[in-house]
Amino acid sequence: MRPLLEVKDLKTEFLTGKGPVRVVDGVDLVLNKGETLGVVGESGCGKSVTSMSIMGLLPKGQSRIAGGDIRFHDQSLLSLSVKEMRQVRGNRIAMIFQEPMTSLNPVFKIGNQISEALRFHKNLSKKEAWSEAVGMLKKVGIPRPEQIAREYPHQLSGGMRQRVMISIAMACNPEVLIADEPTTALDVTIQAQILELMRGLQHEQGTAIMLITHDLGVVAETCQRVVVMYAGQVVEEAEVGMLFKQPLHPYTQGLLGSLPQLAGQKKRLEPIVGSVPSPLNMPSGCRFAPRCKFRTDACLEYQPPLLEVEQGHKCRCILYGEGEQ
Amino acid sequence: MALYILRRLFYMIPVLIGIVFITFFLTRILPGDPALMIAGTEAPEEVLKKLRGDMGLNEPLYQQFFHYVIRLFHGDFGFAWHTGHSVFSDFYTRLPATIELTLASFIIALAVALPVGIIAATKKESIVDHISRVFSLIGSCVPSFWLALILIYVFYSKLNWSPAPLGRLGDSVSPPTHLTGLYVIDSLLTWNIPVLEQALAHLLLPAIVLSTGMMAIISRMVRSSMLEVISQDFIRTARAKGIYERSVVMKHALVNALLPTLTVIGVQFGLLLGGAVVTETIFSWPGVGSYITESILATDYAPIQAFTLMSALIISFTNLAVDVIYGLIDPRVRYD
Repeated sequence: MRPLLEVKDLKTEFLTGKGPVRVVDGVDLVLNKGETLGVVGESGCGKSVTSMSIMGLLPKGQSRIAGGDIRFHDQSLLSLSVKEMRQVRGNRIAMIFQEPMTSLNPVFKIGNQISEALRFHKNLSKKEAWSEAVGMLKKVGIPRPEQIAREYPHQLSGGMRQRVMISIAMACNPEVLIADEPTTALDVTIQAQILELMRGLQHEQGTAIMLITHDLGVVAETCQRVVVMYAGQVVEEAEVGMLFKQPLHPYTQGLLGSLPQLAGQKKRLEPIVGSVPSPLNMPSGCRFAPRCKFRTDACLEYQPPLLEVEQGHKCRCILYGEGEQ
Repeated sequence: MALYILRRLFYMIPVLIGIVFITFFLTRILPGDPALMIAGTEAPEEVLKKLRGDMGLNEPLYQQFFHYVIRLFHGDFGFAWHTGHSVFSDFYTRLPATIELTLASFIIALAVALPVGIIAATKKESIVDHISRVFSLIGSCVPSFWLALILIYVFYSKLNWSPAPLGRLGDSVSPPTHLTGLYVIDSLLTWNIPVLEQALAHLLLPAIVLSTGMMAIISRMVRSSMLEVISQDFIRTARAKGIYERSVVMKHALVNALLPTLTVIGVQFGLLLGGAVVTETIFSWPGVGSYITESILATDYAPIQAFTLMSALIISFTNLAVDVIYGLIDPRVRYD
């Protein structure tokens, strides 16, 4: 099956006073129709920059895509004109963001903010778009949608605002929804509701979701496949069950080790020591080597490739696949 | 909202009482003897004495103040000795000229500052940004009387593009039929093209001079608040909708950026009246500004007090208008 969205060897750079800094370095992602792909990693590992690259929302003049390709229906998004990309963005690929409190424009009515994309992409009249917007609000489980559509963002709670954000993103019935930490800023009970809502909409509209998160619990609950990113690279990719049962990369193991377990025997939490290296000062060998428990001398010099260790399970580590190299 | 406006109007009363009090006594502190100004320095002492008595200057200050306030309540702003008219009738004939001048410079300032500020923000570090930065620096530090003299020198004396800086119309035409008192509007309404041309030509230089300070400050304010708004999350949301960048900037960003700018516009609008005093004097513009300069030079108390009171009223009402408009734009600010 041809993938719906494919990111191939994506390299995104930020232009700084000290020259270009590569924050995403050769990322490969595949998103199939109707599936949910989890993209996991600590803050600063390039998850959001990858999604902004897909959306074509990187700040102009401060960043550039230095290499690789992003293909949607086997059509390169990078080769599209500004006008053509506008037809895709918000219409066929939509996005929701981490900060529901600040992501809505404070001076416009909720209903207008939802109808805006509808009017633009679907050529609806003001009235049609408004009633469609009210319908969307109802769909995302907002009570009294007719009334809420006439209200302003500051009158709603964080959870409600994230529902509004989802209704904005889903209004044009996109094929791909990129959700960048959609639940991070919300209370746990609201988180579950929002995830449930996204799952329901996905089921109903057949949308493929790329769920960016640092919360492995969210991943276990919602995703079919997971990509683990570290320092601008993919370090492991697997089916969700396989990843939790048998994590290969020491970083993934570390992430799972940092999670508190309720069931089973009680162990001490094992944090990963250190922090993500700065893109200005990347280790020359394996990027995780300075923090790795299994580090060898070779790790400090040799940068391992992402290899398929077993069927559907890829890993970027010298421990797996020295032989092939 | 209506209740809020009423309450604000009510709060204006103590402010006005304070203004009346302060201007009255400050004016009395001014050096100079009004009787001497009227009768001339050669006048014999008996004449001066009689004059002072007639003008009520021999009464104790508190009594003079009391009479002044009583007259104010009757809508009587006093008598301007140096023109021989009541202050009210002087204002009535001169105020339209000042309104025309301040409105014109207000419009010029906004018409330049808003687009320049928006472009400077969206094309940061571009040529427009740099040029506007230099011009707004110059605009905010150059004193208006100097700028006025330079402009008159260049555009009237040297190039002769502009008419002589003497009033609102040239000698060849007579004022249009009085409808609003604003010559540009009146000549437009009566379709009197020769007068319209004259009125615009005479208005242009003083209006530009009066607008520069405001233009400079507002364009910088628009730029900085646009920059702040454009980096906000909701702008990213708007962009993610795939709508035109034009709508992102002009709709989503501008409305939010206008909020802080509005406050500055209000303050600057109040300052225009003060600026008009200088500009009108230089261009012999027959408005209340030049009238007030004459009054001060003639130690004519009544017009000075009336002008100060009027300025205070205008500034109070501008502030009220700013707050009301703010509430209309920003749903988070509601007055009930």
